[in-house]
Amino acid sequence: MTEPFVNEISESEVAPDKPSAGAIRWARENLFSTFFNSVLSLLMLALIVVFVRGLLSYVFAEERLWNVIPRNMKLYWTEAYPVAEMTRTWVSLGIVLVLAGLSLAIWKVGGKTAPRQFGRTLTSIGITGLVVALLADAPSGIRVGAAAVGAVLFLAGQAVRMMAGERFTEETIHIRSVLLGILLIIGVIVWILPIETGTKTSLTIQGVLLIVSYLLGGVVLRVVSEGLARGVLVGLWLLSLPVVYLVVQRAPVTAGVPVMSVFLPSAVAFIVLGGGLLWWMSSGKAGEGGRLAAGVVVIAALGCWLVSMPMLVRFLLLALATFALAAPTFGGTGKAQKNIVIAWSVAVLITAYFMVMMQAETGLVGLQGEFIGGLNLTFLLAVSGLVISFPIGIMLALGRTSSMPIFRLLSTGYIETVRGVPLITVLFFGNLVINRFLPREVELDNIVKAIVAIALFSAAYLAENVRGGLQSIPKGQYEAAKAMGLSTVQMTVFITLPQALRSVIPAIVGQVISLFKDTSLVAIIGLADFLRVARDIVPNQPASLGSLQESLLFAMVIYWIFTFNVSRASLRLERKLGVGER
Amino acid sequence: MPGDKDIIISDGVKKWFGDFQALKGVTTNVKEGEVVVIIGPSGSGKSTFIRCINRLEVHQEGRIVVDGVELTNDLRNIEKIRSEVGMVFQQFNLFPHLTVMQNITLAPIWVRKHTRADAEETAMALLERVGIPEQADKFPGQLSGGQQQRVAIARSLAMEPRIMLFDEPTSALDPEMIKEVLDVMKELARSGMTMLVVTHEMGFAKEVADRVLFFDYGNIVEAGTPEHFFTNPQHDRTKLFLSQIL
Repeated sequence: MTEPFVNEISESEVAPDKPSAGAIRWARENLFSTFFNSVLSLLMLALIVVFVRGLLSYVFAEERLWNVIPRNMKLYWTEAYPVAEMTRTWVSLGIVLVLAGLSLAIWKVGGKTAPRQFGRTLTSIGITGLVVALLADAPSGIRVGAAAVGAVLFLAGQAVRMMAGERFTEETIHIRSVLLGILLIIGVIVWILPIETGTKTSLTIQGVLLIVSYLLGGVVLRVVSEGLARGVLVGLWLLSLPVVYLVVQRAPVTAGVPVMSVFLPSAVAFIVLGGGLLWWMSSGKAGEGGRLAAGVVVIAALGCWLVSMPMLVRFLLLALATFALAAPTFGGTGKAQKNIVIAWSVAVLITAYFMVMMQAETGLVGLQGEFIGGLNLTFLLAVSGLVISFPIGIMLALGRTSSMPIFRLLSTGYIETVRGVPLITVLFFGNLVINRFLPREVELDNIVKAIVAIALFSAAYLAENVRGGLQSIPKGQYEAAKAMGLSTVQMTVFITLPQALRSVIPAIVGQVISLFKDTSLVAIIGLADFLRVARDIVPNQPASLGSLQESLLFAMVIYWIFTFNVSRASLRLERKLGVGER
Repeated sequence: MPGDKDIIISDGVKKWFGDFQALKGVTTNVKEGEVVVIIGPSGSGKSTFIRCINRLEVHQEGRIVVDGVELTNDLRNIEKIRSEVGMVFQQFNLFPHLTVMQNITLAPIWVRKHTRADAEETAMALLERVGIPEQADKFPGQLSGGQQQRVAIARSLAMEPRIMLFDEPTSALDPEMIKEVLDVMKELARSGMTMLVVTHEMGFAKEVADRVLFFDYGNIVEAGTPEHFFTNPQHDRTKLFLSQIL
């Protein structure tokens, strides 16, 4: 007979601290655990040394023309944009930085970090500096400088760990103060570098803008609710794209546009009549009549492209069709009705405003057509391509998973056709053929055609990613939504699409990154994007001949910095949205 | 106590999945306020039957009339009936990206067109009723199985349904959590709700059922009061089934 066994576990028993491992012990366990592993470790270390030494020797060699890069910064950034109007690009950057500062504050980016982590980062940067000094085949000035910086950072890292003492694992350091420090250091470096004083001042102003808008964001959060602030900010981000490129950088002259005779009357008519229609349709009492009206609006919106009429009316009819289809689903209460009509009025005003700006001639003297270039163009293509492809891609994904055969057929046909064709072909196609599909009076310039081509191309891939997400949603989610009486549209908007998009964030980010890099293909239709500037334009400047390698390496680093940050940001987003996941 | 009016009429309902006939002419009526417990071996068609009542499954022959409206392919009828009929699933099927509060208020706001404030007030009252008001702002993934199922019940009740369907509501729960869900269901039954419950909880059937239906091979084999059913079953299949599970 066995004695019953009862293990007395008390709550007060605390697990002892995990034994901390020293560097030697860590190395023995992880690098030299067996003879074979030791050989492999040594081999890899040797490889790293050879590679790093080769890279450093290349970078610091006497014949490298690194001074070409700061000298041509304006070309890299904006290419042919007139020097006299550079303020406009600075204002554009300022708008983006202000929004970025507000977003950092309102989304509460960056928590706290522990001294141990912070010290470790400083130490490893310091060690990197020391390694550079040790290995690089470079002028002694650079080696001494690298050694000095490395030593200082190394010691600083150790000091942080020492000063924190016992509390070195507690998260006490604000990441925002670290970022502020980095910003200040960059500011100091900017003032040391041999660049024009005007540029230095502008860069300093931009830095100050970022900090001030961050502080402002904190104030905003105290006044309005978080949800409202975020909603408004997302809207501002979307608006910033056309504002920056259509208004700020294009400097439109509205004198030749029939604002008073065409634009204003149409906008007012659409607000009044469309608003009235939407008010009636969203009241919940429209019933069959409402459905009929929505159908008429949709047919009108599609049919108007076949007959001659102002572009504004075409776009507003399309918008009205979208609103009309959504109104019965999202209307009902008086408040919802009011919101729909307000949203409609705002949408009409914004559309009309930007249409005016689009039709206006540019006020920049002596330039026509594609005067946007360099990194500026790369961003324009990538961001607008992404923004436009998103709704199209989602519609295609929904079409392909729809139960209606006609939608399924069209979506599948589109997706498979576009995915089977290289982007270069789509760009050529867009450049040469797109005008055939549009009314005769519409003339698109090369940049717009490139944006359309990139967006249509990217939408097909996005659709496949989203479809993957839609298929990963358990059947029970659809059943629960249906059992509650939600309509198909409501189920898609509130239940399936949010879950689908969240589950495919990694795939979408991968696509954003490749879209950003693929924009360099527009060089083939004659646009001067960042890579073309780095490859063709800068190395062919008389004063910069022979700098192709340096220029390309610089382009590489810039592309890498942006894509790397995008993927870091997406990791954060994934972690944040992971909360509440089952 | 059940009223006199038939709120669900099922007349010769047949349903095939491919070549397999899941329902072979189910005929039964449910009165307003009646609590009907459906038992039977797995694969007997009991879940399929209650899923036909809110048309998550489409029956091919026969007639189902819910609250005076016949189930046909007319979409508007279906959405109207679904908003009158609440359903609780075995796997809870809460929406993982929404908080408990948002799960409960979603349909009242968008289907019933209630204001957000009203919907939230009702939701809090329902969370009180199922005993977890403190969980309102959590996500479903942060709750235990029993709590999730109680939220699912509250979510269905928020639509103020006239009929509640339960599809094995306790089968996915740990034993220690079954009671908390059954208690909520018992309270609901006593409040006069019309309920159709597919379950293996015989204690629940004995305690609150007005009528027990025993399903096998796609049809009702035996029906009767719990007393009749558990003390004096007539059919051999019923006797065999009860001997195996009791």
